[in-house]
Amino acid sequence: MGQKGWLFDVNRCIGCHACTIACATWNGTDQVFWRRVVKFEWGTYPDVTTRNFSMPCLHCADAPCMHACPVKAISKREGDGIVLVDQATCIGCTLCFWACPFGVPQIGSEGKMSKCTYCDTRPDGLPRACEEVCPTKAILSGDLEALEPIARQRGAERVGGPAGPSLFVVR
Amino acid sequence: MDKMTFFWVMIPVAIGVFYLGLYRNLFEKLAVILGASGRFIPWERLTLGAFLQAFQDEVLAQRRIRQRSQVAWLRHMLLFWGFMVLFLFDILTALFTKYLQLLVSLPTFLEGGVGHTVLKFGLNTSGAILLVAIVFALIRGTMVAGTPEARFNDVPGLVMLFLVVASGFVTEAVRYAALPATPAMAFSGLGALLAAPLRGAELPWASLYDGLWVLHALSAGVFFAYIGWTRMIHVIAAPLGRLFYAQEALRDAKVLTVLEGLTATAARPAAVPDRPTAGWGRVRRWAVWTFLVSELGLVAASTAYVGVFTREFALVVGATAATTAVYLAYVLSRPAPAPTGKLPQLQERWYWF
Repeated sequence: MGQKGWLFDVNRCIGCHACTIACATWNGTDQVFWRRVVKFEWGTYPDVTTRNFSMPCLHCADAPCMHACPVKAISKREGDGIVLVDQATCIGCTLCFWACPFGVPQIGSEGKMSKCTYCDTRPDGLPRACEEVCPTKAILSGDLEALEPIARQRGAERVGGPAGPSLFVVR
Repeated sequence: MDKMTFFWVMIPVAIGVFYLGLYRNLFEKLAVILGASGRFIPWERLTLGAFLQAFQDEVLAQRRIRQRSQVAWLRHMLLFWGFMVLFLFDILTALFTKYLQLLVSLPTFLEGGVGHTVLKFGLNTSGAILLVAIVFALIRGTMVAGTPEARFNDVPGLVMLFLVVASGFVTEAVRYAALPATPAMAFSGLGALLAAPLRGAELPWASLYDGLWVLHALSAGVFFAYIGWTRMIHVIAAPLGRLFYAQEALRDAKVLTVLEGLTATAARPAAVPDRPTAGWGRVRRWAVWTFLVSELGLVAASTAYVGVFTREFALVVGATAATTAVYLAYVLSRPAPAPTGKLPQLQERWYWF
């Protein structure tokens, strides 16, 4: 089992927010959303366009949130590389939010930080809740090694940057 | 070495250990964050109102804990308010009855009569509240909390705090036990209650009192030093983070950093290496200056007590200088923290669309 990650197809995403709701429902996230759809608008009139980007935790190879945590509440799980927050240790200082290049960790009404757990409570064999519900199949999840041939086939590239987010994107 | 000299030697060392933990576990983290996104901070858009609102909700009333559980909220409020009021009364007592008197002539209303009684009542009531809260938290921490990690997360810190508070009450009781009972002692609550059965016993009260006093001071110093190295750091990190999280302008700016990360072109990486060191230099200077001010302030305060160019003065200055040297050597030896490690296996490419 290798590093888990995502493949996201920007062209397929219609911004329906089904992934956001499926994630919140499966994980019972109360007042925070672990997967959020971000809309980008750019260009100058009349050449303007918008794209949607469904943003979960990217379970970075060298997660900045993990390095920013003063009490080591955030760890990267052996084997699958999922970045998890230990709720019992978290002090809710929000430093992980400020450190994450994508602003992923969210502070809940109870004062603890939480974020995508890659649906670690889902039974084996089931896709992630967001992936399962996506009507256009814009989201794929799995081992990065397994996703790589699909990414190559679809013309996706691995997103780089110093944190090493586990994400392929189809432009 | 008399007990006050011991106290003045111990305090700068305790502060040094506390600061070392703070530097390693908080300042360096802040440096990483400021290095990565400090240039997005819209200082002119930060509002005092948002800070005050967050201070009221997150620090004074601790509403988020209440959302989690009413019992947890009550426990934490008792710990917080018991500790803060006790700390405030302790500082007032030390300032007005000891240290300021050495520098200037002050009214002595806190040293006797009604003023002193009010002071004792405040100290003992807040101490008793804190003691109840610690016992409450220890029962929860050892018997109730869910996972093994949760069960023992805070127990070592609570045991230390219990030792500080309990030794304070016992020290007070031993002091009272050696004195004739007076009606004013009733305002000392638990200390006076504990003193009652001890009174009349043939014990070396003076040396017992000194020993307990040293134990109390030492446990307080150890607890203070311990804060920076463990989960107790939340007493500083959590309010700091929450106060800034309450600023809407900062959260907007955070979105900008995300957008920049996602929309920048391949030309962007050229700017990246400059980021970590920018925040690191600023935070490191701040960490050094605040430490030096704290240590020099302590030397000034202790000098007023032990006198200049005495043997005790040399001990205090020596301890402060040694601690300062260790702290500065540590800080200067730490490399600029990179926001992330080097990832040669990944294609060096920034985010794009």
